[in-house]
Amino acid sequence: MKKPKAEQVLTTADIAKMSDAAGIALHGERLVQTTDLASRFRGSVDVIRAYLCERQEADSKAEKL
Amino acid sequence: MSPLDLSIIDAAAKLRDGSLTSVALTQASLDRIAERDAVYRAFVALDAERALEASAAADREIQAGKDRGPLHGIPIAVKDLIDTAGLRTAYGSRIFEAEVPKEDAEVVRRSKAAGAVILGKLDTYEFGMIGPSFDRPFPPAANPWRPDHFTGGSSSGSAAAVVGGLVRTAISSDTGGSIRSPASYCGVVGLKPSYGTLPKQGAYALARSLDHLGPISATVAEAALTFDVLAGVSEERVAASGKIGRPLDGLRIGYARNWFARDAETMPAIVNRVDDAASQLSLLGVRIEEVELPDAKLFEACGGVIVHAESFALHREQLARSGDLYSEKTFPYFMAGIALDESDLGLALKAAKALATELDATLFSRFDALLTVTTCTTALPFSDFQGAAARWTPMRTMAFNVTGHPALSVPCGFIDGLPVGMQIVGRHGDEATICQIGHGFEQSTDIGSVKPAWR
Repeated sequence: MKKPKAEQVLTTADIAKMSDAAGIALHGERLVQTTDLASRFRGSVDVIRAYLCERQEADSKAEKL
Repeated sequence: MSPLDLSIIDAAAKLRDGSLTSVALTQASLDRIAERDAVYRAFVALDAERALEASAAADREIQAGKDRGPLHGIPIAVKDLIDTAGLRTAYGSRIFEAEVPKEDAEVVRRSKAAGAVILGKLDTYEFGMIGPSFDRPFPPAANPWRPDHFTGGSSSGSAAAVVGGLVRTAISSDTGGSIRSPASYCGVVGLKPSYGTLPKQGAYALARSLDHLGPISATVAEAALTFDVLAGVSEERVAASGKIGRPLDGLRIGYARNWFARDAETMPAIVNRVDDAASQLSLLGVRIEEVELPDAKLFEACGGVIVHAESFALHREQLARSGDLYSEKTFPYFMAGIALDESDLGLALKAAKALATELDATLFSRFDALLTVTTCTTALPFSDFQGAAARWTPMRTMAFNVTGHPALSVPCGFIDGLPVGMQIVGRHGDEATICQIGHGFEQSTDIGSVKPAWR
C-alpha cells in the first residue's frame, strides 16, 4: 500500500473550537486526549484515501489492458 | 458433577427425560453466582425471582410435552448493552444507572419465546466503547483465570460468566471485536455472525455500520445453537449448527499468518499456538495454505473512522448534556469523532465495501475459511490500565466488522496459564462452515475442557 501523506495534526485549540461550536464542555486532560485521538483518526482518513486511490489506479490500468 | 458442567445439549436431554429440572439448573446457576461473582464481577444485575418463575414455567411446559427447542429451560444471561424489559439496563454507564427498559430487545424476545431463562445482565465497557474503566458504578469484570487480569471487552461480563461456569451461553455484541477478544482472553467461544444476520432492535448502538450481535458460549456447538435460536428458522440460511460433527477432510483454509506474526506487538508464543492449531487442522484433513491479506492497519483505519464518526453522531447531544458523567477513558473516544465529517465516513464506508469485495474475490473464491489470530497477546493485568488514558490492545478482529464476514474465536492453547484464541472467518452467511471447523478442532484437543480452578 502507498504511504499516506503526513498526518493532519490537530491542535487543542482546533478541537476546543469545534467542541465550543457543538456546545460540549471540553478542557484539561480530556481536551488533550481528545486532540490526540482526533489527530490519529485524521491520519486514518489519509490511509483510507491512499488505499482508494491505489485501487482506482489499479482498476484504470486493468480497464486499459 | 454440577448440572452447570453439562453442555446445553446434554442439559436439554436431561430436562426432557426428567432427570433434571430447569428450576434445579437455574438454582445451581444462582448458587454459583452467589458463591463466585464477588470475585468475577460478571453480573451487573440479577433477576433471580423472575428466572425461577420462568424456569418453573419451562418445567411445566416440558412435562406437558410442549417443546420450545434447544434453549427451553436453559439459564442464559445478556450483555448490559441489550434491553431487558423490567430489568435494569445501564449500558455500562453512570448516565443510565437507574434505567429500566419497558421492552425487550428483539434477541431477548426471541430467546424468551424459545423458552430460555434470563438470569440477569452482564458487565460491558461503557456504551461498548473501551475499557476497563475504574470510575463507573460497575467495577470491571475479572478474568476467572487470574482475577487481577482483565477480560477484554466490551463483552467483559459475558466471557467471565461463561468461563467462570456461571452460565453456558450469553447474548453479546461486537463492533470491533467485543465478542471475540474477551472470548480469546478468557478461553471461551465467541461467534460474530455475518453482518445483519441478527436483529439489533433494542441493543444500544455503538456504530450501526459495524454493530453485530452474537453469542459467547462454552463450546462451539453451544454458540452455534444459541445463534440458531436467535436468528430464527429461515429457508435461505443454513443453520450454524447444520454442519457440526461433519468431518473436515478436504476443506481449504487460507492461513493469514504474516498478518499477525510479523507484528512486533504479537507475543511470539501466540504465533506458536496458532501454528500448532493450523497443524492440528491439517491432521484433520484440512488443506492449509498461507495467504496474504491487505494490511491490518488499513482495516483498523476504516473501522476506526466508522466507529468514531458514527458514535459521535449518536452521542453528540448526550455529550453536551451529560459529558461529565462519562468515564474518563470513554469520553475522549466518543468526543474525538468531532474531527470527522460525513465525507470522511463516506470514504471509510466505500473502502470497507472495497475491502469486503477484495476478500471475496481473492480469498473466499479459493478457500472455505480463513485462519488467523484473535488477540495478539494474552490477557493483561489490570495494573496496565491504570491512569486516565485508555490503552488499546492489539488484536485482529476489526477487519471482519469492516467486511461483515462471520468470524469465530475458538480457544487454541495457553501461555503461562492464560488462554489464547484463534479466529476462523467464513464467507458471508456461512456460519455453518466456521462452526464445523471450530467444533472439529475443539473435539480433537482437550484445550476447551480445561477450566479455571475455583479457589
